[in-house]
Amino acid sequence: MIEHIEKQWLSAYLDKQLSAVQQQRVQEHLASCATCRAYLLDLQHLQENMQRLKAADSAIDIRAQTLALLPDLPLPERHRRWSFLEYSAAVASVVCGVLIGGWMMPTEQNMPLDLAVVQVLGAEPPGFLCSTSAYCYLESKK
Amino acid sequence: MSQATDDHLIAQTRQGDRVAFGELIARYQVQVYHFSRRLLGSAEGAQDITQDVFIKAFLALDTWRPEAAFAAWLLRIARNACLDVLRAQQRYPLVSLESQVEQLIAHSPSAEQHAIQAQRLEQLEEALFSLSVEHREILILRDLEGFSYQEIAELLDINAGTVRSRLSRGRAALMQQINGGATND
Repeated sequence: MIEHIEKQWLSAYLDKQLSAVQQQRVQEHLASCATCRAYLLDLQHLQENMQRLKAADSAIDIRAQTLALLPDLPLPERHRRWSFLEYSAAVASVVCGVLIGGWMMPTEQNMPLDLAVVQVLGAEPPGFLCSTSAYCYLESKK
Repeated sequence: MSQATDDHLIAQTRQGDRVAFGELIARYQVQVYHFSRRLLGSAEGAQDITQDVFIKAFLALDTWRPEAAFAAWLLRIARNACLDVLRAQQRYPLVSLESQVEQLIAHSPSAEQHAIQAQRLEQLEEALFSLSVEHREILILRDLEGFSYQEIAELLDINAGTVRSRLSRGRAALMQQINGGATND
């Protein structure tokens, strides 16, 4: 009694998905087994008919109607990178803020500009809330 | 139709070029439509799904990666949409094959052969509809759309070994539907 090749093997053989060794084994079996040869032939006919089915597919055209719906939809979100100009504007804004803040700070006479800038970033309230930085603490203790 | 690659058209679409997206629709609409029609069993429903697929694809274009074939990505969206509809309807109606049959008649060599060929293909399509969704989709992807085992595995989220066994069972089931099938397990 002949032991047949598994259908799965024949199906994979048809698709050329077997290893060289497996392929060799199937070919040897097919040479001596009419039943498996007939099954493989059926598989081939089936595949050919499926291809004919595909070839007979009718054309459709939904491009215009689909595109007509798209303008109402939001564009895909994108994370756009900042341009050089935008980066420059952001840096300039920060620098201007620090300089203006430093100018508004009450400074002791002859205080260098650098120290005034540092004061803007300090913990003391900005502007003229206290006449000098030391008075802020004295006034809060009263 | 434009000679531009899918990647190029997708990049243009991402920059807001809808004409480029129109090219992608023109390129894949027939494939998506017939895949959906066969999976769904309804020509009318398939046209709606095809339109939805492209709208969903447009909205999700940022999630597409060049590693995946654009066609496979679209069919994956179509498959999910069809399965949602099938789950909701729980029915598998047959579609008219008149248009396909007419086309075959127009291209075949003799009247007798036309009739035989048309009847054979009509039986085949009906047999395909009678299969389970699992078998139907894998047969469509492999034997109609021509995807590789690896592409099918990725599209269906299964391993290549399962593709092989499921495809074999699907083919056996289809042959059995057509002519009683040959069994030699």
